Amino acid sequence: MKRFAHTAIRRSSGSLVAAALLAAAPAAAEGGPSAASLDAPTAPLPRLGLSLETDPPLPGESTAGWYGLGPASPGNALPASARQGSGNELTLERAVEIALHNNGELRAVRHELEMTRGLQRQAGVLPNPHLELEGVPHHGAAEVAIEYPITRALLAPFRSSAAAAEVGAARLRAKAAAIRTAFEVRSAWYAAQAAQQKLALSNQALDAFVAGRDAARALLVAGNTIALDTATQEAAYEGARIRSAQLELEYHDAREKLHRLLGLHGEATTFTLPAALPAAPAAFPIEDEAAEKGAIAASIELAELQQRMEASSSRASLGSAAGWIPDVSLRAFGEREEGEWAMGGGIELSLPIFDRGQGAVAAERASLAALKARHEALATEIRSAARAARNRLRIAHAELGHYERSVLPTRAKVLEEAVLQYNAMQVGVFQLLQYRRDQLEAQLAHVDALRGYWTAAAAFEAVQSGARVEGGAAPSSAAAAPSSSGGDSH
Amino acid sequence: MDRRSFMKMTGLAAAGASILASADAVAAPLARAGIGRGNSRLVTPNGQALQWRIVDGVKVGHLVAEAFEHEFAPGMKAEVWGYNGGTPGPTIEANEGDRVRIYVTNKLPEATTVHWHGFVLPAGMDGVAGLNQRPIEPGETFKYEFVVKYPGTYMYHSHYDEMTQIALGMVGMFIVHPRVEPGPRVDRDFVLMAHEWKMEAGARRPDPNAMSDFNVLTFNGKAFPATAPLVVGKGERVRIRFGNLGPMDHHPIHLHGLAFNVTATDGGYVPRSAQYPETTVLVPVGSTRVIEFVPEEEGDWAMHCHMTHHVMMQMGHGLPNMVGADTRQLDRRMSRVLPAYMTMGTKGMGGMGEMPMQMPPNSLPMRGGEGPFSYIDMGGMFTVLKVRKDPDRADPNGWYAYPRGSVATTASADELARDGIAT
Repeated sequence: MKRFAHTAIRRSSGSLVAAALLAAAPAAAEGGPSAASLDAPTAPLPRLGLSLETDPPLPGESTAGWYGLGPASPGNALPASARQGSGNELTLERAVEIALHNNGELRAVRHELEMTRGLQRQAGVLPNPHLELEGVPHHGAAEVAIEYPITRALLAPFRSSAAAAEVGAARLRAKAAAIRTAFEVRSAWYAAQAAQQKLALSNQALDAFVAGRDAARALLVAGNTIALDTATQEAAYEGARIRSAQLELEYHDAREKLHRLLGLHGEATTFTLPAALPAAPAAFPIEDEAAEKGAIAASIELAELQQRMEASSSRASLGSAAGWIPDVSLRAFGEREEGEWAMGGGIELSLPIFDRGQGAVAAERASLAALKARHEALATEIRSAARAARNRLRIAHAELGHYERSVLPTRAKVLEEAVLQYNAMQVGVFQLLQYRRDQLEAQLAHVDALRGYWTAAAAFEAVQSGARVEGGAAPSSAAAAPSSSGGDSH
Repeated sequence: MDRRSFMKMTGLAAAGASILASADAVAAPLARAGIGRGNSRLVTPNGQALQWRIVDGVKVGHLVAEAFEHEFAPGMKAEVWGYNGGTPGPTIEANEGDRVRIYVTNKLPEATTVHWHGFVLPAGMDGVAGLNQRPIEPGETFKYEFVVKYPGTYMYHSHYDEMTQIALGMVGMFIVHPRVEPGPRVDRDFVLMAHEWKMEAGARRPDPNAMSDFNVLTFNGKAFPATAPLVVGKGERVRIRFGNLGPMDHHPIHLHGLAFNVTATDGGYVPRSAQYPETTVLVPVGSTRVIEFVPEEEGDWAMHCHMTHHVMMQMGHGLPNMVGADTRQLDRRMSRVLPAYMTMGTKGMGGMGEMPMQMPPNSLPMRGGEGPFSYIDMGGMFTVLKVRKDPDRADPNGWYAYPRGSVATTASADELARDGIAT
């Protein structure tokens, strides 16, 4: 399969995950969740609702807090640093890296992995011998006996092997959790970045609304228009202020979700996000036939089921064989009587006449058959999920391309022509502002489409890396209202 | 004809001026002999004349209804319909009592007819589709033949799908000279046909569906500064024949520097006793008006429709009223919202035509022309009557040389003080 042009994506879900899992040192992630976090200094709260408090600042006035209105504000341009990260900027790669080390749920999963490793070690430990001492001091009589459960000792490596399968399964679960976390972080990062960009665009639209109000007021004062026209412009502006406030909330909600996923609080949450999402590759990066094969080959769920099948098969074989093996214990003893020691030994064994574990073996074989059936069903589901993820990515890519090749250029053309018509006095300032706002609406929808593409790409990548994820559907960029991240699953 | 006129005309003919009468015309003041051979004194500025062939005493002409590209003024061309490649079509001239046979070939995409507007003729020749004849289908050629009974200033136009075809330019003038002029002989005889068009700034075809807001106004299909000036002599008798087949608007045509009498309409001559002096003549839709005057002051004189929008072209039709608005705050905001924006019209719109602003292609908003003192901020239905001592030698593109001290100028402080004017 063709890999994504955006190599950072590969790093985040591939090598970073592997590195984090291979390191798997809980100590590396220690120090996070503790009582200290309860007393941690609180993060400075942002000043919210600016658009409801004041008019957008005039050029030359302070634009603090007004995304999109500053000279180098987000959404105004695509600075080269957007993908590199600079200063306090949180890049996507860094966000994934932090989450893999700091995400609370992921750390718990890693501890559970250690737990299964401990259980595996315990399963392989040899049984202790039993020592028995008896004596009658006044008569000089003593008796010592030692007994060792041979069968248990002989079966210990087999038990350890069975436990090793559990460790393998736990490892796979941890790997899947890491992939899912990486996806969630990427999805949340895209959501926060997109929300920031949309807020900037909304503020620019608000700027155009307030310009319309100013124009209407100037005309009313001059006696050139009627109060109805001015009221119409005022009403449009006042309504737009609410939208900016809503998008402001969406942005901060998206950031908070990101903070939670990264396990960050306090000053650590004061990072900035790049001004613009990266551009998508021009060509669709997926070969159709590669999607299913890659997902099947990488599927952690299938690998885990495979391991469980192998373990079940082993248990069935072991149970079948063990049923014929008698439970053997060796016993050695010495007796001292009248100053003389007499030594002896014995063997104790059960006779596998009636209970040879037939029922347990049958149950294990049935369990194996069930696992096989599940394996086949899961493979079908994963194939379908891979196709669905590919379909979403395909449409997201096509939609994005349509925005970039057609919608945005035609909107720009509309405004360009409107300026000419304005110069020719064929349209007035109010129509000109409307065309500008129409262009900003198209740019808002484009941001949704861009976020939809990257979210779908991340979901597809997760499936190709072995884990199905929730929330890979592209948000509807056609929606005029701020859209959510979408809740579609597989 | 007095001697002065005679000398003038013979001199011009010798100079080869095509617009003048021949020596025959001198002998026959009614100029019948010249008509049809390109030596009539009738002038259609920016226009053309229909060429006749005389066949067995019948004047035979050919009109081709067709589509073509027409230039209203430099900077604006449009796909229009007309006759023989022109809109208005060629001016048709005949003499009272002539039998004319006019073939009409239809090269339009739809049917058409020709109506001979104002003529008294057999009903079957009147050209109303469905009523007097069947439509001339594309590719067909019809023949109209009739005797022009009465002299006068007439018009012709399509009478099929008039809304579309007239709006797209299917109009023309038809002049019938009298056997005997009812009034004094004229030295100059001009034909000006008014028309109006709806052209979106940047469009390439007039909108035939328009009912108002016509924004390109023309004399003989041209908008100022493309309108050819009318050069006349001081003391000459001048006739101007106005026709109006624009879709919706009447035009009060105003002449500066003189008064005139309306001497005829498309209904006939106005008895001398009924004529009265005017400086503005209303030319209604579907009518002709003929004026005559003798200019007594030399100079460059404006002649224009007095409806102000009819001399403003596409300017300002979509703009809110900005006059007097204080837009300082708006301008600050717009510098961020749309840096290409510039507030216009707060101090009026004079001088807009000179602003080097980027315009839609193929448009003439705010476009006027260069004048001898400054930019003339009028366009559309505007032209200049140039009254000269020696009009035949005058440069039609030249400006009048004003005698020293005869042009309004800044009042000096001494003059203000002398006359007690406080400023």
